[in-house]
Amino acid sequence: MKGPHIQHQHSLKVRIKEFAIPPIHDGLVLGRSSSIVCAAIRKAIDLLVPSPFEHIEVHDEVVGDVLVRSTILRRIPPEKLVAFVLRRIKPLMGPEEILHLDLDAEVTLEEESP
Amino acid sequence: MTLLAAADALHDPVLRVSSDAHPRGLGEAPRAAIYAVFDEMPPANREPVFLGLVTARDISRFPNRIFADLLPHHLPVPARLDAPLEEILARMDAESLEAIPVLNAEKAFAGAISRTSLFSALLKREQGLLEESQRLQAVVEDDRRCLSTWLARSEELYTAATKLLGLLAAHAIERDLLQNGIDAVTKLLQARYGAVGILDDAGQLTHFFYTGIGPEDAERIGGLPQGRGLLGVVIRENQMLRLDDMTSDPRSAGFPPHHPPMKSLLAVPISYQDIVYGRVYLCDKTTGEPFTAHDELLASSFAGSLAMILTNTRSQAEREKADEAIRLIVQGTSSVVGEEFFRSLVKTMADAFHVRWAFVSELADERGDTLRLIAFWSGREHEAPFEYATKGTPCEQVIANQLCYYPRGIRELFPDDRWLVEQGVESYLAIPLVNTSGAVVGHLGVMHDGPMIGAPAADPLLKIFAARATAELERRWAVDALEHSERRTRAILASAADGIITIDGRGNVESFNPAAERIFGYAAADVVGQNVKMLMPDPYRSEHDGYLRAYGESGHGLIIDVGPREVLGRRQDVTVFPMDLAISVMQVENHRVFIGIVRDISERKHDQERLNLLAHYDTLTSLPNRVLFNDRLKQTTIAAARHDRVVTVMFIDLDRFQTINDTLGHDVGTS
Repeated sequence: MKGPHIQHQHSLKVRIKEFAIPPIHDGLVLGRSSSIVCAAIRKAIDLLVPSPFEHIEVHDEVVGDVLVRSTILRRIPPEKLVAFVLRRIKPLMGPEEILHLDLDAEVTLEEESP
Repeated sequence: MTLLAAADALHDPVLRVSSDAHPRGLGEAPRAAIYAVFDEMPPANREPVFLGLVTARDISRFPNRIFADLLPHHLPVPARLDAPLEEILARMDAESLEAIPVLNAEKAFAGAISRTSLFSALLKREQGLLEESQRLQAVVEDDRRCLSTWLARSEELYTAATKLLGLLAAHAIERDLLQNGIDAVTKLLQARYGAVGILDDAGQLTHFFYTGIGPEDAERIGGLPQGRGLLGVVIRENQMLRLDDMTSDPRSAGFPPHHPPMKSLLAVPISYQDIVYGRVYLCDKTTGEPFTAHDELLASSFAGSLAMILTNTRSQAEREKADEAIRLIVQGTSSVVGEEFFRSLVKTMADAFHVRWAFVSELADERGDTLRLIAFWSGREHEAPFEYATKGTPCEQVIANQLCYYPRGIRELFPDDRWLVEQGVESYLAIPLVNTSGAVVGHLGVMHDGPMIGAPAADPLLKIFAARATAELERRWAVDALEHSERRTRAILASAADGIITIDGRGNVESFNPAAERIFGYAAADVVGQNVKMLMPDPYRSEHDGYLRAYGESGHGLIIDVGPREVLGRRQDVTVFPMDLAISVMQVENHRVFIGIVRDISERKHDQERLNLLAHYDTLTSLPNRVLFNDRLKQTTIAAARHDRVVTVMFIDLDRFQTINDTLGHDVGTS
């Protein structure tokens, strides 16, 4: 008896774009159980990103660490950044994830004349 | 026996790794390895820096992390090599540490202690203590057997010596010797009268042999000289005396009735190596002239020869006395140990030396400033043990490792020793107790309320007492140290937060600590002797015999020496719970012991589940959140691709849903 003839078709789709240097712009939020954590990421950043990054340790069951470009911290204090991450980003992530941040820190200054 | 410290419980193996390294890049690591992580590339001119420890459990939780990221956020404070094990265990429990680093005196990394290595060291010590206890017991038994043999031989010797003494009639020899001697020297010096007086240990005249006075005159004069006058001076001052006219000397007490008048006197001591046996007296030369210096020399020479002969004659008696004393020691102390031994020893010493007080002490502090009297015989009874300061006492010299012998006048020599003065102690003899390492550990001696003349001849005897006392002291300390160590080890094992269970090669439980009782709900008495399978649910229960058999044949086991593994345990109420189990093997002589360290992780698992819930479900509505949705979507698309199916994702948006929540409440919105 002869079985039904099965024909396999293969297709390949590719989307190509330039690898951006640096691959990390402003920061990373590292889940507490992520497979790559602070030391390894920092080494990668040191190799790939010219500007320095700061490490902020977070005491939380989901978020473990925040790595942020040092210049950002000139405009927003670390505790405010951590509070923002815990309030807005934590609900979107699991402890094993690593999220990439593009941060826009805007500072409004007002000065009254004497 | 020293107490267990960190250095005794170091984990093996501990592998040194670079913080940059990845566990997968190390190849197959030894089982149960602990990794010591170093920053191998510190800034120039600096040594590699120790960063912390990583365990197999850490790696199994995050297999993709490099060692730097496996380190705990905060390095636990390292322990010193000499830190006591109970201190380390308390810290491991308090800080929930699997391992703790250990630094040496130079603050360099020296190793690590894990729970397995710590408990293994404790159990090995407990086993070692048990064996040491059995060995000590055997030594005591050997000691007793040896003493019994000694006793039998000593008694034979004593019987033989007694018989020999009877045959030799030593006293007759001494009497003839002295009588012939004084006759000869009197004739030689052309003296009219001569006499030789022999003293006892207390300096009292016991024998008096004379020449120049007939038996009838001697009978009329009466007993031995009283020693009130010049003869007393010779005895008390122990010096040669040569007088031309003794009657004109103010110290003369005159002669007793019927005593012939005498004028000139020459008296010389009979002594050898500081032992004074008596005096030679010569009176009135037949020529009527006074005694000369030449006569004095001849008399001294005669007295010296006489002293040597007496020494030889008496050394035989000393030996017999020593034999008798040895017999007393053996009889008095062979059947007892501990406190009773020392009480028996001091009583025996007092009997053997014919003195009032006898004592044995040990150092109460390292420098010997204070001594603790273990046994003290006061002539009538045993005094209770007490301590005293050695400063200003003769004991101070003894503790400085020298034999001290003061035959008389001890109170005048040590006026600050109030006890000696109050009790009226006159003489003192003591020697240090020196242990096998050469250190003074106490002293032993005798005291008397009269003079103790001739005692140094008993020095070997005192050494025998001292050797026996030191041996007993060392035995007592060893037993004390052993008991202390045993109590301490048991206390640590009993107070451990982890359950510790030891089983034999057939799976029968040998020990079950209080923590194991709490974890499993069984009393130790209900488990010890039973098969450990009773603590396991199936399938572990039915497979356990096979595991043990396979290990016995191959020496390899899946979960032996690999660090903690998560398994299931079964409580007495048949509930099943998750637990961490680390198993190691200890070989004790021909006996194989498996040590199981158990920790109930129900709470930790519960926390993990809660964490998982928090991560994947909305805390407000308990509905799956975006993370879980992404995960399920990923799994679904993979499954669809595998089975060549199509997946549809539909977005359903509820308009003004927020209004429902805001006006009617979340409960209504959720429902």
